[in-house]
Amino acid sequence: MKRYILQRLGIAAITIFVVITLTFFLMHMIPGSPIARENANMTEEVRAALTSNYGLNKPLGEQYIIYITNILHGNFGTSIAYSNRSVTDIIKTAFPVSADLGLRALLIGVSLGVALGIVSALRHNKGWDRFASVIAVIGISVPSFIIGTLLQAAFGLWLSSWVKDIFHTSFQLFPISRWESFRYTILPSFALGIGSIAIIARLMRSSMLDVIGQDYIKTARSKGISNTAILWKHEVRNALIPVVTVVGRMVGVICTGSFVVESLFAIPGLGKYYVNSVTARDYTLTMGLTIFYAIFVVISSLAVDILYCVIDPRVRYTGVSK
Amino acid sequence: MAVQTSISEGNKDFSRIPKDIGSSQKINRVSLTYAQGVMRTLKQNSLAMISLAFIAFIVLVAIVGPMILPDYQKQDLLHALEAQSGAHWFGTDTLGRDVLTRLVRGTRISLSIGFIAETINLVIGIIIGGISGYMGGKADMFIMRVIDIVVSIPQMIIMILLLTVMKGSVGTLLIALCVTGWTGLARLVRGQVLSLRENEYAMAAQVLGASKWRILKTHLIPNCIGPILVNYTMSVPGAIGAEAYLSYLGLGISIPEASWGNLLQMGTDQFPGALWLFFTPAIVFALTMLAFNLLGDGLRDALDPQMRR
Amino acid sequence: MIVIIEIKDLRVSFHTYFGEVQAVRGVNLKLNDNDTLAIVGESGCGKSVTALSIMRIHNMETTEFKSGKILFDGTDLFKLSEKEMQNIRGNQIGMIFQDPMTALNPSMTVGNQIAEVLLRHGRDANAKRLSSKDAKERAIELLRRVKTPSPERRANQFPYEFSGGMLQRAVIAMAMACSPKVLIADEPTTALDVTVQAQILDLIKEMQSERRVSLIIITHDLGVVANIAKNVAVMYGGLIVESGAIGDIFYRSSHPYTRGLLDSISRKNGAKNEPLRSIEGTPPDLVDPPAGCPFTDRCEYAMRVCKDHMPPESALSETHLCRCWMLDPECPLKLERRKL
Repeated sequence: MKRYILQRLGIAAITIFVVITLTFFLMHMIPGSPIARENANMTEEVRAALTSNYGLNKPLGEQYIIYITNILHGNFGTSIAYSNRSVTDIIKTAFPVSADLGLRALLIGVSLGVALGIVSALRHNKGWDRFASVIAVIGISVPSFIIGTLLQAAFGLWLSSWVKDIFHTSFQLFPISRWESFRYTILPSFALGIGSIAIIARLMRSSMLDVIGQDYIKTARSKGISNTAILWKHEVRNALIPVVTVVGRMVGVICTGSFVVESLFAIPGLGKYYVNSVTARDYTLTMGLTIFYAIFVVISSLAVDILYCVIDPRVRYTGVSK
Repeated sequence: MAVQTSISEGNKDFSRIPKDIGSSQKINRVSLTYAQGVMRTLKQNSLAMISLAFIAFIVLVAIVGPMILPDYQKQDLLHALEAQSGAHWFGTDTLGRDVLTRLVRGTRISLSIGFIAETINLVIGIIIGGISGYMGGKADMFIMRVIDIVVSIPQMIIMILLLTVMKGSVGTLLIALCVTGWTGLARLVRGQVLSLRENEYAMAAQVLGASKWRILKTHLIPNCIGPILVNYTMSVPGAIGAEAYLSYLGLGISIPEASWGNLLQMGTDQFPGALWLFFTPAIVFALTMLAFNLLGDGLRDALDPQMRR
Repeated sequence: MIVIIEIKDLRVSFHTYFGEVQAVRGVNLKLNDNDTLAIVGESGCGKSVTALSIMRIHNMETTEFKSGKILFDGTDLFKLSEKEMQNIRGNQIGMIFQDPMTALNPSMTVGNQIAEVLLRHGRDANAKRLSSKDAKERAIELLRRVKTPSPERRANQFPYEFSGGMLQRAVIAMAMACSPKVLIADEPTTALDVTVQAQILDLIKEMQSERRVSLIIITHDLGVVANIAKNVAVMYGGLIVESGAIGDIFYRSSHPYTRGLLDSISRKNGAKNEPLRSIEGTPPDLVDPPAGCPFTDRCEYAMRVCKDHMPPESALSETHLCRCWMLDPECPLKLERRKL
């Protein structure tokens, strides 16, 4: 087990190093990059800050070392577009928003996905199962920006114009942009969560079908346990084990939000800043966010895997180490 | 059965007949080869068959369509943003370009990206996975660690990063999709090769004097081909989806070239003013993704003998 | 003698991808109170299906009970609702399965799995339901009874921390927890190490005499039969081809299939260098079972009549029944007595 954890730690460290290096050199390859060479539409202050922070007047190798040292000190530099804000500052405000959105979406995905998976396994090959699996395939097939746009249209425009006609109020129950109160979170959470509903429903279904065919279910029946008790105590509990593993791995990715959903719903999370930084050619921000994103995802999935290993020794037989 | 014992006296024929081991070993049920069983199950799955037909149709459109239809880049500012009409069946876009023509062109581009990217991944995956599994030892260790690293980097990040550096085009998209896309298949192939090296049935075949080629032919290839086929069928929509996602973010194929991604981007931009601009590509795109996934599901079920209970 | 279980003309089919498998094709069986009945046969001959039918725990989506009835203490089990059946399972009829490694829920402690059946059916001295604490204590007691070392600690462990033999002891404890009237053991020793097999068998025998339970043991191992059974039913191709008291089967067997089974076990005093004999061929496919005797194709004594006509059941003595055309008075061919 110690060996397994050490090995995982080593791989995580190498991965992060690879991402940092790759980001650094790719960014220096961009023609017209402010990091690569002088750029006209930059204020003197920003240029001065950039030059001192990144050591732009020094050779590439030295710049690389400066860059890595900065990151090790938690210094991701200053944004070019938001000239008075450091990248760390932006991460500090945007990450909680993304994590909030992601966790809501995950909650929707897990609860509805597990329910759908159980129902379709119990009605194996019957109407409900077909219905649920078609829903699941749709969830996997249709990307979040189409679902998001449709949700915006249905609730933001058609529903609200209908409400306007009848109640003469412009109150929006489900606002389609910004991130303020609970009402604002509903549509984006669903837009992001539908994909995970589908993934989890499928996984839960096949896991349930697998468990239902196991000998120990026959044993439980031979004990005279009622069907409901068998379902919850024996079937669902065991079927959830692989689902929990997968959900654990999703946490890292989903907590960093979504490029598309955040842009679509104008949510000030990491994803929106990321997309903006790419289109606005805010290279320092892109670099910083990329590295933060990679570090966060790698470390959180590492943490989840190690946690499983510690909590549940059986995982070593059935899951993670594979 | 028990009822048939009532035969009249003297009608019993007690003459001896020889043992008939052969006929006792004959299986009376419909005997199916593996491939026949797969085909039979697949054919019974109407959703999968409809999906297959739809994919065939869409591929045909992508090949033949652009030859018949006029130039997909032709602008006509006087007729910009017009809804469906006799002249423009699916309406026109912001610069008066015909949506149908662009959709057909986009179908060709998006499908090409999907198929080409996944075919490249297939080849890389088989080669690397095969080498890893076959060589074993240190080489295998090394390759697996490299794969572990590639897999733990979020894929979307790599693609966005690459596309920030390179200008979005079919070529750069293919590179972005293939940098990390081969890992799944490589793991799958390696697993099959390894299990073959270790499995008892393969060992049994070797002990019985089967040649390497025969083992390859009768065990490795049939065992690999199913999972690979399923993986491929499920990966193509993944690549098509990634293109749409990237183009939607403005990083993929840029206008005037057409792809499902940039058609959808324009559609969401003009939403809900010009509904046709959104719904036409969205429906075609969603149906195609659905068809690939349903076919992949059907294939997976058909290839799993346990599903045939 | 009181008959505790009586199976009358049981026919069970499975609906599979390949068609209808007629797994059991008209079986009649009796189990007396405090008796041991062994059902013997090759894999796929219908012996497990017959026993599982008593519990009615097949996959109900694919299983069809074509006809027959199973009387348990006079009540027809097929007429009971699922709820009523649940009150009988684990309480009046217990079951031991073939592979203890898969028969227990991997995510539940062994103690809790035994306690579960006690909580479901168990009553204390005042006929009240057990508290979970009492159930846990009884589970530990049961583990001790089946000779599990340090049962208190073991009760809190998960199945993967047990060895196969230990698990089978736990399964026996579970099946016996509510002191059922009937215990069905489906190949209880097949999946175990040879060294453990005898211990488990002894344990079952011990529990049986201690709690006066009637036992149905399903096995393909005639050694097990000789060790434990009083009555034997030999199944082949979904039918009982021969049944009788243990002496009838071992010393006066009259069916060529039973002979084949007996010849295929090694004997201490068998002639030196005599190879073990096996029955050539495989059992018939029950998707399309033969009209006549199912053993015809593998039988050394096969006659034309065997192929097309099912042999009737002949009573050789009060206890001994056999289905073979050679027992027909008109048949010129007779099976010689078995050389011992």
